[in-house]
Amino acid sequence: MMHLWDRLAEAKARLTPVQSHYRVLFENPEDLDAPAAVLCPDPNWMAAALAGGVLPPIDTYLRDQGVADGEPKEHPYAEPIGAMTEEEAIEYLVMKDIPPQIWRDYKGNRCILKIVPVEMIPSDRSFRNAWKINQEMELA
Amino acid sequence: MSTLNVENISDGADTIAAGYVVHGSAKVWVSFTPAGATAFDSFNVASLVDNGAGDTSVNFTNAMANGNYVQVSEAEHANAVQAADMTCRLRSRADRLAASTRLSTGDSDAAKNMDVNDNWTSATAILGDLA
Repeated sequence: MMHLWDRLAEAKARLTPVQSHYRVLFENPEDLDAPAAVLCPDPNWMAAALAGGVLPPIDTYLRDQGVADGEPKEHPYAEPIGAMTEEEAIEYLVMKDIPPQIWRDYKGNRCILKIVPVEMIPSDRSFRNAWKINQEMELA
Repeated sequence: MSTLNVENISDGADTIAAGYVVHGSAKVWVSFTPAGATAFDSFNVASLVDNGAGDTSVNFTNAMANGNYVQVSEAEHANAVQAADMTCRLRSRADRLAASTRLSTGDSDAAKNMDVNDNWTSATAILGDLA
């Protein structure tokens, strides 16, 4: 089976990059002074996620988080998974690239993670280091 | 996909082991704007995180073997005028991880203090061993 890095090289040559419609806002409960962070999916990664046959199962990344540097990792050699929807790909990225203490372990009342359309991210960067997630809930 | 197995590569005059090419290529690269952490182009990048003004994390799809890789970064102004003191660099040694890295972009004042800001487009390339 091809190594993940080789699959990524083949996919980049074959697939057209896809700009996601979503961003993930999150705050670190262990660093209260830090502004809200904004995760932006990479367009080549999103193209690979939507096409399928490139990325490994998310649980291989989660198991590898407990593997020490220099020890063999599972995710580069795992069988690739099939195509995802854009929404499934965003959930995959949340689990892969955001610390578990934010998306899994946090028990507080404050909303510290939101998936939002890109249009909801302010374009004015004047007070970027003061950004916090709006805590007002929109009720349907 | 076919595989070409060779031990050496030669241009007729000089010969090098194929390993120089395989191990010497960039394992991760990305050019991006820190404002919004938007990638212009990339390879082996899963996502970028805008942590604040001039503060960007790069998350890898295929992790590196460890955090001892080489990272080369650069910054440039969006317009044609390039200042001499602009920079994009590793935020701290603790941020150079097997699965991600974190960069600061900005420019230096007269006292050589770094003013971290979003005024630059940036790029980084990583060389080293893959996981």
